[in-house]
Amino acid sequence: MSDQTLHQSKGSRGEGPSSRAPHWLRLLGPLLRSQWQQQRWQVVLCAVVMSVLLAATVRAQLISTREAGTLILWIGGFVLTGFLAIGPIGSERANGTWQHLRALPAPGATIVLAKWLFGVRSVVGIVLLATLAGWLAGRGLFVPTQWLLLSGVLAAFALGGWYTVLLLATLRSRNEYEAAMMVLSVSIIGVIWFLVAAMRYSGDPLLNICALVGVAHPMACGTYVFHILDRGETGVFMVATIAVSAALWWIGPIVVLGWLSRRSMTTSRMPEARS
Amino acid sequence: MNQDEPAIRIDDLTKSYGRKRVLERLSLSVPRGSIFGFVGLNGAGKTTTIRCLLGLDRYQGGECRVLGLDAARQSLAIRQRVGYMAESQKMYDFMTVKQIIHWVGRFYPTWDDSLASALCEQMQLPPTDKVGVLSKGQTSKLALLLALAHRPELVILDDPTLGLDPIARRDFMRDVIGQLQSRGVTVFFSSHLLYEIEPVVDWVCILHEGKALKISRTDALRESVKSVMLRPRDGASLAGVPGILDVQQVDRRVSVVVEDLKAARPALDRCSADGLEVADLNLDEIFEAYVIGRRELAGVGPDVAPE
Repeated sequence: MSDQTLHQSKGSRGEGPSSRAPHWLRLLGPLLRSQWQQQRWQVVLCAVVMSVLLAATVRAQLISTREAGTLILWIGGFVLTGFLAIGPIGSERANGTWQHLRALPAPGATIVLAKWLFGVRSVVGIVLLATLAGWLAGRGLFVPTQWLLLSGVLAAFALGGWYTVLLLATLRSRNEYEAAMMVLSVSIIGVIWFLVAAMRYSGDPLLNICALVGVAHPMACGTYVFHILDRGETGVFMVATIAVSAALWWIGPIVVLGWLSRRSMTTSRMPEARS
Repeated sequence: MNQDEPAIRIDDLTKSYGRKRVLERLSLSVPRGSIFGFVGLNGAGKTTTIRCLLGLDRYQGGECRVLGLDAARQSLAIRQRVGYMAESQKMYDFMTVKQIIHWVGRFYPTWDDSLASALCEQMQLPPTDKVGVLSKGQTSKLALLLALAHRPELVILDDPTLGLDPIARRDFMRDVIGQLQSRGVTVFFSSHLLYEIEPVVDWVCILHEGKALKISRTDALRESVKSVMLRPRDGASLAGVPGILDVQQVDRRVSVVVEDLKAARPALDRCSADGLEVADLNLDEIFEAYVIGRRELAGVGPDVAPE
C-alpha cells in the first residue's frame, strides 16, 4: 500500500436523497439487501412450491377449494414460516458472519428489525402470491374463489404474526440445529395454544379464560376472524382480537425495536445524519 | 476527545464467561499515535479484551474508554471511529468483493469510496470475485481494507496476519503499519507472532491468563530484561535475586533471565563464581520468559535444578 493512497484519497460519500432519515433507519436498506441475498433461494422456492401446489389443487378439484386453502395456505404456511425462521440468526451464527455483522456500527435492534421485516415480508408475500395463483386457477370453475382471497389475506396476517413469535424464539440460537429445535418446540406449543383458543365456544368459564389468552396467538386470531367473517358476521370482539394480534405481533416489534435502535444511537451520541 | 487522553484506557477490567474468569482486573493505557502490541498465548484473553473495547461483550467490572468514549455505553460511536479487523473474519461469501465494499461502506459516515477503490487495486483484490472463493490471504486483505477505508482514528487488529503467507505478513507489517503510523493513527494489535511485531511496536503488553504480566515500551523492555549466564558458587542460591523470570541449567552453569538487570546485578554477582555473561533477548524470548519461565527453580538453588 502506498503512502499516497492513505494520504490523498478523498472521496467520501455525499449525502443521498434519504439523508434526512435517522441513521439507524437508513441502515435498514443494506441490512434488508444482505438478508435478501442470503435467503432469496429459500423464499423463491417456497413461493413457487406453494403457488404451484395451490393452483394445481384448486384446478384439479380433487379436494374442495376450502380444503385446499386450509391445507396449503394455513397448514403449509405454518410449516413454511418455521422453515424461514430457522435461517436468519442461527445460520449467521453458525457461519461466523454474525460476528462481522455485530462489529459494524449498527445497533443490534436494527439488525433484528431488518431480519424481522424481511421474514414477515417474505411470509406475507409468499402466502399472498400463492393465494393469487389459487384464485386465478379457480376462475371459471364455479368454485368459491372469493373465499380463497379472504382466507389468503387472513393467513398472511396470522402467519406474519407467527413469524414474529418464531424469530423471538430463535434470537439466542447458536446454529441452525438449535434454531430448528426451537422452532419445532415453539410450534408444538403453538399448536397446543391454538387448540386451547379453539375451545372458546365451550361455555366453560375456565376455558373461556384460556380462549381469551389464546386470542393472543396469531394463528388462533386469524382462524377465529376468518370463522366469523365466513359466517357473514362481524363484532366488537373480532375487531378487538385483530387489534390485540396486530399490536402484539406487528406493531409491537416495530415500536420496540425502533425505540431500542434510536436509544442505542442516542446513548452512543451517534450522528443522526451523515456528515 | 481531549488530546492528552490516551486512545485506549482500561481500568480494572474484569470479565467472566459463566464461572470462568477470562480477564482479571486488567489495566492498561495506549498512548495516542502509538503502535501497541498486545501479546499472549491462545486463550490469554486478547480477543475478549478487544471485544470489550468495542462494546461487543459486556464486562462485569472495571471501565474501558476508547477515544474518550465509554465502551459500555457508546459502543456504536466507538465502532464508527475505530477500524476493526477480527481474527479469522468471516464475511458474506455470496457477495462479490465490490459488493461487500459498497455494503460495508453504507454503515460508516466517513467512508471514503476512492480510498477503498485504491486499496482494492493495491491489494490486488479481484472486485468481481465472490468473497467465498478468495484465498485466506485475500480474505485478510479484504478485511483490512474494510477496517481502513473509513479513515479511522484508531485501528484495532486482532491477529491480523493469521493466514497470510510470509511475504504478505512482512509487507503487512512494513507497509500497512508503517503507513498508519506515519499518519498518526493509533494501532492496537494482538498477535502471538512476536518476532513479526517486534520491529514495529512502540509498546507491548504481555497478557497471560487474563492478567497483564508486563506493559512497557519495547525499547525499555529490551533494555531491562536480560539473560545472564553464570557459574554458581558452592551453596549459592538465586532465591535472593530480584525479578527472576526464568532459570535454566546448562551443564555446570546457570542461565537466568531477569526482569531488571540493574536491580538484579548485585545479587547475581554474589552468586557467581567467575563473573556474569549478559546477553540481549528479543521480544520472543522475553515473552517466553514471562509466560512459561520456570522462575520457581530459583528458590531451589541452581546446582540442584533439574536438567
